[in-house]
Amino acid sequence: MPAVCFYFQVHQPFRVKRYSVFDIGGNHEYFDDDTESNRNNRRIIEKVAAKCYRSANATILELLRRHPEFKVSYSMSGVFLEQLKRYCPDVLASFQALAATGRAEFLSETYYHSLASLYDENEFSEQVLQHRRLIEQLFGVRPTVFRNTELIYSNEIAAMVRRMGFKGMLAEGADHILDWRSPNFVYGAKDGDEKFGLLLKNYRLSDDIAFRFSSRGWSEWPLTAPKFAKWVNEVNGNGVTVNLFMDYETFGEHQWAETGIFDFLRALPAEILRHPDNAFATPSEVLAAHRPVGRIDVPYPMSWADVERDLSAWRGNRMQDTALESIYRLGAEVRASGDKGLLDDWRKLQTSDHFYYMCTKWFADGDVHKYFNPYESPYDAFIHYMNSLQDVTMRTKGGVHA
Amino acid sequence: MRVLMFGWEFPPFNSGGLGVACEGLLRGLTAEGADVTFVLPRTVPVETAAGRLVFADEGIVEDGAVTALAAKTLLSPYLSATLYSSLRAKFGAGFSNDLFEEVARYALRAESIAAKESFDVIHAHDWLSFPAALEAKRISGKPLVVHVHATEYDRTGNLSPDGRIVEIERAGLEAADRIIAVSEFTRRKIVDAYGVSAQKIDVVHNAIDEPEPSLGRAVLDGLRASGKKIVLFVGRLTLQKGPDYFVRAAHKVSLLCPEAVFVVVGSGEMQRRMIEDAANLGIADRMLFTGFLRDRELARVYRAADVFVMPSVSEPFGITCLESLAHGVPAVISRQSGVAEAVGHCLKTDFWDVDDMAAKILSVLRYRALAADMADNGRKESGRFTWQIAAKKCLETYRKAAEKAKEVLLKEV
Repeated sequence: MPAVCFYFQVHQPFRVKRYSVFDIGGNHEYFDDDTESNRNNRRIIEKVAAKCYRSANATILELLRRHPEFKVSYSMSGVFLEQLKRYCPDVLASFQALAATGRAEFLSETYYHSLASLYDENEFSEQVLQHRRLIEQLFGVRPTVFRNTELIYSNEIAAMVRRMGFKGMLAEGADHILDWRSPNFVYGAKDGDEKFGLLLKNYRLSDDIAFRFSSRGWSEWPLTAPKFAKWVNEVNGNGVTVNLFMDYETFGEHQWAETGIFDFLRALPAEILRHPDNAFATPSEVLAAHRPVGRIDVPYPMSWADVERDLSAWRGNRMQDTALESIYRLGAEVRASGDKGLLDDWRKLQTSDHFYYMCTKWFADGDVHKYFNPYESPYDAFIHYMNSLQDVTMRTKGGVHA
Repeated sequence: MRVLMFGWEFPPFNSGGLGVACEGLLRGLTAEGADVTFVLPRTVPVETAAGRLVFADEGIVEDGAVTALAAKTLLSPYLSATLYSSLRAKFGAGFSNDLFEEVARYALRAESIAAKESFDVIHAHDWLSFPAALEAKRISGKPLVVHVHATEYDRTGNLSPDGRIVEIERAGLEAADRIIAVSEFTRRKIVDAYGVSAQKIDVVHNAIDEPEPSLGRAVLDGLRASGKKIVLFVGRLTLQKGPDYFVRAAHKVSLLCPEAVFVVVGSGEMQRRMIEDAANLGIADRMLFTGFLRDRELARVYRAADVFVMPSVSEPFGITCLESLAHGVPAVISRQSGVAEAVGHCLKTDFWDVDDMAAKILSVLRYRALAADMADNGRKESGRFTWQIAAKKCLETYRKAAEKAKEVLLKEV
């Protein structure tokens, strides 16, 4: 009797504006692009709210009302919620309406959607606590299950998360880790105990919706709710949970409304519930109901990104490594400065997207135009980032206050 | 495929990228099995590895697949009509009265060459060879392909195109069975400024040869040893290449990076103005003018550079950008260029946005990781641009031109 466990990731970074070397030392605003570009954070979140968040929330709310068995979970970054508060308060209210049903679970993550888990445990804990305070304040619940930025997971990170008292965390069901094993069970961390469970993404079924839904070259196109429910039914007898993890922007932004993605979502719960053994569950419910069937050993960090399922989207080239090293090196001094504005700017520069924009691995031969990036190139992304960081460094060292 | 090709400059007797492109294309076409007769308007002791060279004035020397025919004129692709008059005054007799007369004379010679040679297609490079090519087409009835490396609008920085030259360009473009443009940028320009149908134009990007791996010590080592950073400009010092914007950007760079030295490779009528501007901005002591350099000397300067800048006002392609990338030098290039549409691993700027240009130059000088990643990826990317690929595309264009010529013939019948 498998339970379908939906988790939607909701995140928008504070993108760095075009910040030139001539701005360093004289301009301490890094995120206030007000042009027609894709660096204008207000413009982006309003656009995505119109295409995705409003319709998706309305659909989910309708489903929760129609099906008492239906459940979902969300992980929303602090920087996303901050932008909602500022630019789209009605969308924030619609998330609160979902919370009020009691059947939408909210997961824990770092407030800044950062890579701190890889660099600085103190910083990591502080950001997780800051996020927890925000979720409690906005939704009146305390998250008990953790999901790390981009599902980044390793033995070491699991140990940190366990020390913080979480019941479990989410990770990618990567082939190189699971080998012959199924992602449809609860697993344990290498050095964990029975009480700390891992939920692994069923990437085939998740990506059928998130990536392949509108792909006409796919042999299964068009994907219908009955067809997808049939695939879920096939898990019956061979698993306890089907973990469908994806970006919330799948609905309306990555897959446009015209593809029928909202109709699919609207029809799916009824189709799944047609089979008497099927159910829906939130991550904490799955973890409460099932003990780990085995342990996974992940010495090197994995993520849910790309075919590599590794960290190469955020680090690996010299620019990314330099940027990451430069920002985390400042940690002790920034935290000791007592300057809240400086601390917040420094942390906003930790958001993983900044390093993703510097990635050169897809910006290869002839592929320039397929590459999505609010900057003209990874090099431009690096320049604006490093210039901003130089200004933050000067404020830290020189006591220049914004 | 036998090709009768009309050009007007050829390395080492070239003043810019056009001769380099013609030579590269010739090698590429020969490698692809084409039999090319290359016509030059004047006698020059040309050597090519591809083989045989011929000079029309001095009789034909059989020497391989490539045949060069030359006519004695004062032509150069970059001469303006005014500049030509002053040169003529200097060199005096032996040359005809003005540039347009020269062009006409070249066309007359083309008539007899076309009558003598046997070929399947005519391929002409830029406006000075267009009348010659038109004559060849008239005499032979063979299909004509005209190759646009630059238009009069590019050469004059869009400011004051010579109407007579524009008319020659228009005549060539209209009579051609197919047109090759060196970039989308140039295709758009041909469509917009000359009213030619975009359907008639194929884009063939220029290419480069891989630089020789070992060239000995880089020049300018002394400067580097003393901690100087080298910012490089390579190009004719004319309006089209934006050298004045380079000086203004250099000034802004030097404000934040006093160790920057600006090396200008090339010569041209704007050198004096550049020196004056640099002096007025207080950076004359940081600008080095090397004059025109070629081959090994140029390669050594590239190798010494920390960043290459191409601030062109209107650059149909921009081979120098590929050269800098091939030498592992990060490039900051004008978006008003053809090469900007073809390469990704460089920084792009608008030629008029001197602040942005300076900021990007400074970033490359300041951030070692940026320069290193740009250098590695740029070098790899430059390797994709080969003359053999360009030649393959030209052969495809010849095929289309032949079809087109056949259609026209059938219609007339």
